Amino acid sequence: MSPALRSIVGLALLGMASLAPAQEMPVFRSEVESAYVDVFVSNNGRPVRGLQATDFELKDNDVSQAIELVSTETRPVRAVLVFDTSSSLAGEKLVALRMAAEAFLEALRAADEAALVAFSEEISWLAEPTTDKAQVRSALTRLRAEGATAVFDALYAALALSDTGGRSLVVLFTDGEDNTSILGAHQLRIVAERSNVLLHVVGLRAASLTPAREETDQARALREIAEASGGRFWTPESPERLREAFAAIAASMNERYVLRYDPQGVTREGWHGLTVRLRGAKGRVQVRRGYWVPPPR
Amino acid sequence: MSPDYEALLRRYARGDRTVAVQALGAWRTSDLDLQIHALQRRAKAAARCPSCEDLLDALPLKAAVMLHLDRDEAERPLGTGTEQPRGCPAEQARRAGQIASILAQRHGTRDFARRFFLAMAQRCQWDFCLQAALQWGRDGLARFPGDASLLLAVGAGLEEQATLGAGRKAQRRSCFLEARRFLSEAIAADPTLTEASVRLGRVQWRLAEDEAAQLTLEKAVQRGGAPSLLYLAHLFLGQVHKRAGRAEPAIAEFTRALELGPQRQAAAVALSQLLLSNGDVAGARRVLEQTLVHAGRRTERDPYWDYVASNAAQAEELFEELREETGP
Repeated sequence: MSPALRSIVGLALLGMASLAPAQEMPVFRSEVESAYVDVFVSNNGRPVRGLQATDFELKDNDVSQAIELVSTETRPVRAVLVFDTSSSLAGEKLVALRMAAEAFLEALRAADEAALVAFSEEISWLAEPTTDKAQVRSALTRLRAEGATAVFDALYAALALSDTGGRSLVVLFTDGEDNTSILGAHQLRIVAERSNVLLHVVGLRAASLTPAREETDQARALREIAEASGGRFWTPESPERLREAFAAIAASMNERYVLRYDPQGVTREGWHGLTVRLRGAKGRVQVRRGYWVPPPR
Repeated sequence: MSPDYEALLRRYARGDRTVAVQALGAWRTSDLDLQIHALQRRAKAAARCPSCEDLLDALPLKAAVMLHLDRDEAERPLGTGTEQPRGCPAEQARRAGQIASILAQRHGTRDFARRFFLAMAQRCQWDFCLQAALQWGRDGLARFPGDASLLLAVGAGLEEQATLGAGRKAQRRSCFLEARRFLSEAIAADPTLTEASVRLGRVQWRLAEDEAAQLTLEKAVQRGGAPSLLYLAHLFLGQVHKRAGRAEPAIAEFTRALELGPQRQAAAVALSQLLLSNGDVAGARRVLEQTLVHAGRRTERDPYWDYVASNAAQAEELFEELREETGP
C-alpha cells in the first residue's frame, strides 16, 4: 500500500470511530425528551431575520405545542459533504467542486464541524467530522474522479452515520444518474424521514436535473427527499455556479431558527407530522415533514 | 479479391497483427467493401456448388474477422472513464461481422463465429452500446438458434436497458418481460448456466413476481456456481425477502452474501439499511463501519458493481482466445 493510500485509510478509520457512537435515542430528541426543529424562513428567496418564538405556530401531529427559540450559536452544525467523484466529474467539474467546498467551509462558524465523504461505486469517508477545517481542505485535494455512481448507497451511509443528534447537515453533490446502488429512492426517502438530518442536494447536470426542464426520476426523488428533510434541491447551471450554491447552503445554516418544544398531547412512539406556520409575519417556511420515534426494542 | 488485401490477411494470420491493423487503416472504405463483397460472392458460390473447389478454403478468414475487429478498436475513440466509455463499434466491426457470418455457414469455423458474436454482444454491453449489444446478440442467435450463451447475452442486455435506460415505466417493463423470455430460454437450453438463473431471479423480482424470483434464486443457490454468482444470488434473495416483509430471512441472506465477500459494500449497505429500518441503529452502523474501512484497499471488486453492465473481462478473454486461433 502506498503511503498516500495508507494515510487515507487511517483517516477513514478515525472518521468511522468518531462517527460511530450508537445513538439509540430518537433523533429529534435530547435526553430530556425535547424536540428540536430546524426551520428556514424566506421571502422572495431571501432569508427572513429577527423572528421571535411568538411568530411561529408549531403543530406536532396536529396538536399545537408551546415552543421556544434556541440560539443557533449554542447548537453548532455537523456538516457532512457527500461528493460524487465518479469519472464524469473529471476536469473542470472537479476543480469547481473543490472550490465550492472551500467556499462552504469558509462560511461555517468556528464551532461547526465538517466531514467529507466521496463516492463513485465505492463510498469513502475521507475526513472525519472536525472543527479543524484544514483537515477537510486537505482531504479535498485527494478527490479523484473515477468509477461509476452509487448516489443512493452513499446518501444512505451519510445519513445513517451522521445522524448522531444535534444539527446534522448533509450536502450531497451529484452530476449524474445512479448506476450501481443496491438501495433505491423509496428506501432513502424513509431513511431520510426517520433521521434528524437536514439534507441539501446539489445536482449539476442541467439537462437532466434542472426542474425547469423535464426532471429525471432520480432528480425528482432527490428533490423530494431533500424537501422532506427541510432542505432543498439546488440546480446550478454550470460548474462555475457551484460555489454560490455551496456558500448559500452554509450561510443559510446561520439564518435558520431552531425551535424547541416538549411534545404534549401526542403519542411518543411513531411518526410525528410537523407543521410550522408564521403568525402574522410574511414568509415561506421550510421545515422537515416530521420525525420518527421508534418503538422500544 | 485484391492480392494486397489477401496479403494483409495473411500478415495478420502470421502474427504480424499490429502492422496489419495499421495498414488496414490506409484502405478506402469503398475498396474494403469491395473485398467483403468478393468474399461473400465466393461464399455463395461455394454454397451453390458443394462439389466445386472452395476458394475460401485457402483464405485465413478467422484472421480477416479479427483484423477488422482490431481495426475497429483502433479507430474508436478511447473512453475517459467508467461513465464515458469508448464509442460504439462502427464500420470495421460491421465488416468483421460480415466475415463472421460467412464463417458461421462453414463447417469447422462455426464455433469461432458463435464466440465472436457472443463477445461482440458482451463488449458492446460493457461499452453501454446497448442497441448494438442486442443487435450482435440477435444476429448471433439468427445463426445459432437456441444457443444458451447468446440467449443469456441478449437477456443481460435487455436487463441493463430496462434497469438503466431512460423511458417510461411501461417501456422498461416491456424490456424486463423480454429479458425474462430470453433468460428462461437460456436456462432451458443449459440448466447449468447459473448466471442465467441469477439474472432471471433478479428480473422476476423487478417484475414483482416475488415467488417466482425466490424459487429461481434458491435453485441457483442449490445448483452452485462461481462464488461471485452465489454472492449475487444471496444478495438478491435478501431483497426478495425484504420486500415481502420477511426481515429474518432477508437478514440471513444478506449475511450469507457478506460471508462470501466480507469486503463487499452492496451486501453491507443492504443489510445495514434493513437493520436500521428494524430499529437496530447500532447494528446498522456497525455493519456500515465494517465495510467502509475497506474503502480504497479492497482486494476484489464487489460483483454487484459490474452486475448490470455485465462482464467486460469475459468478452476480452474471448476475443484474445479468438485471436490465438487466427494463425495458419
